[in-house]
Amino acid sequence: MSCIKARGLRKNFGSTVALDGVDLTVEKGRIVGLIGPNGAGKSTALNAILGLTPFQGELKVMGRDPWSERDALMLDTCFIADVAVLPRWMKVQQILDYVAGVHPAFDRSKAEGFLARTSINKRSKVRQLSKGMVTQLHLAVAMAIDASLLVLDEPTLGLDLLFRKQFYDTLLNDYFDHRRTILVTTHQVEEIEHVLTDVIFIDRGRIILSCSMDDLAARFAEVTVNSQQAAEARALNPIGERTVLGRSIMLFDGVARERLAGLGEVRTPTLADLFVAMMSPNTAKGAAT
Amino acid sequence: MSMSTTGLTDLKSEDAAPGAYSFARLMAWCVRRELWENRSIVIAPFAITGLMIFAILIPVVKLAVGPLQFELGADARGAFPTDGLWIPYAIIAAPVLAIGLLVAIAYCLNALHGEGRDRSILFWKSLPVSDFTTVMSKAGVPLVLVPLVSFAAAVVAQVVIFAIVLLVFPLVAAKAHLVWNGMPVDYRAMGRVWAGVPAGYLTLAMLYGLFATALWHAPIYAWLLLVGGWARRLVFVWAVAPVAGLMIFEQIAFGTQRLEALFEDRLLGIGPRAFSEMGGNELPDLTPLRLLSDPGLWIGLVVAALFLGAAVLLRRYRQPM
Repeated sequence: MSCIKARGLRKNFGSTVALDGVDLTVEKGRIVGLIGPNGAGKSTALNAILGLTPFQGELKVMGRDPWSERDALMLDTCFIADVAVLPRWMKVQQILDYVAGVHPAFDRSKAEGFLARTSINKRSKVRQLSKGMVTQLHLAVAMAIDASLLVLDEPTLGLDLLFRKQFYDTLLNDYFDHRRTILVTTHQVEEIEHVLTDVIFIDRGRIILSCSMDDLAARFAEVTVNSQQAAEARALNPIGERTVLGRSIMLFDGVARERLAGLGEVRTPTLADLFVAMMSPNTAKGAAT
Repeated sequence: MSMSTTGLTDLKSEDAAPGAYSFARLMAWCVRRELWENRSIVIAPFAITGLMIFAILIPVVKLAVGPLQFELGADARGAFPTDGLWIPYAIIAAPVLAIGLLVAIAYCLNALHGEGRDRSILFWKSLPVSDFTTVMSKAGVPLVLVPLVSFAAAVVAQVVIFAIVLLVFPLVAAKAHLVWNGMPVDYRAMGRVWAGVPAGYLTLAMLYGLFATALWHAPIYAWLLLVGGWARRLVFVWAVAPVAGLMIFEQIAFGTQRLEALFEDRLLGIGPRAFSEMGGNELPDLTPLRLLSDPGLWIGLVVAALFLGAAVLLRRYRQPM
């Protein structure tokens, strides 16, 4: 059983199409990055997966229909939607009490262990914590829930570099164990690049790329083309081309590395470069992150 | 907080998700959560009864330490008035009911509104608690919790007032003994004070009255909860304006005021349904059968259920703001 399986997933808001027939499979034990420009349908897809919004098409998360079984789904799915959604009036202690009260899979001592490593005072109210601390708190609560699927929607938005780095380190070292699945969206592609096992690009409600990071390295290549060979390189239909310091850098999809080696220096593209190259021209203009 | 350690934490679940907690347990935690967020539910009734006790204390202290001001009619000697001694106790009821109504209204306006406004609904929805359970716990606050807290505050107030009377009475009597030239002090009058206070009746009537009122007001609370969940801003205006608008429309279009009468009856009409008529110093009787056979009560409860059902659906479909 796949962790998430979507067939022809559609969602309209009036005449706006947010999801335009998405087919998607996320296997267990993967760390998947869902990446797309603003308005591409990332949040709508996550909302559908988490049972927060109705949808058309077929969608199963942990074998359940998220819309009709949201509360059951939340027994083994956990999500951090956006930063700072913890209720500001609540004390840290109360959050632990409440989650322990309603969630059978919550391990309170584990959460307290995570919190002990931070400077968060359990008697503080959420409103007294800095944005970074609120994120640490939410992550501590989420990681103490023995869930099979963890969904993170822009979990580090607006945090400084130290917190962002620490966030993903903690997630990898203390939480991920190949039995769980993590689905994460973010604009800070560079930071999660090395964390992911799989990547999904979404644009205008459609999946335009879905592959593992291993396949990605095999499939895509970026070449700093020697200037006299530019025409020759263009004949191989690069999916993207940009100029840096007077030299053309081209991105190829499915062209053998041996074939490219003669054209210039070949390497695996970064997710950010691949993302920019693959976005449709209209969205790419304003969305280079 | 003994419930906070679940005992289920060492669950060895590989793939199977653990079963959800019972509805009763989830409700208990949700209601507790409401109390954490809205401490005024507890503070307000006790504050108002505290104020009442303080108000009663002032004339009592004057009586105890000031000069005696009894009119010494021939028949008054040695006989303290014991009629209507229940009045100070019963007088607590009105402010407790009023503050309970205010607290409940303010609570309902914000209960489903606040979680959307501060987006904390995204946190609540990440937990295995259904929209139904959440809305029911929020409806439980004005319908069960506020009456219970008000009742507790009223009972405490009554005990305190009674203690004050018991303390002051001998003081006054002793002073009368001195002032009125060795007038015999009739300490049996103390017994009459006891007898003059129908404590059991007052306690029962308070509990009954609070819950009868809450049930009668159920459609108002449910409406406020629904509008709070629906309106993005100006909840109070959205809650009141349609009702007021319809009243004005009816007045202009048909020249009648049926809706206004209906609303007034819903707001204030519980008294004559739940209690017999009150005359002079006579205590009214409880009339639960009359209340339960009143179709208005049941129609109100059905309307409340419909509003709450709509609030559940709204919370389910609504995207956070």
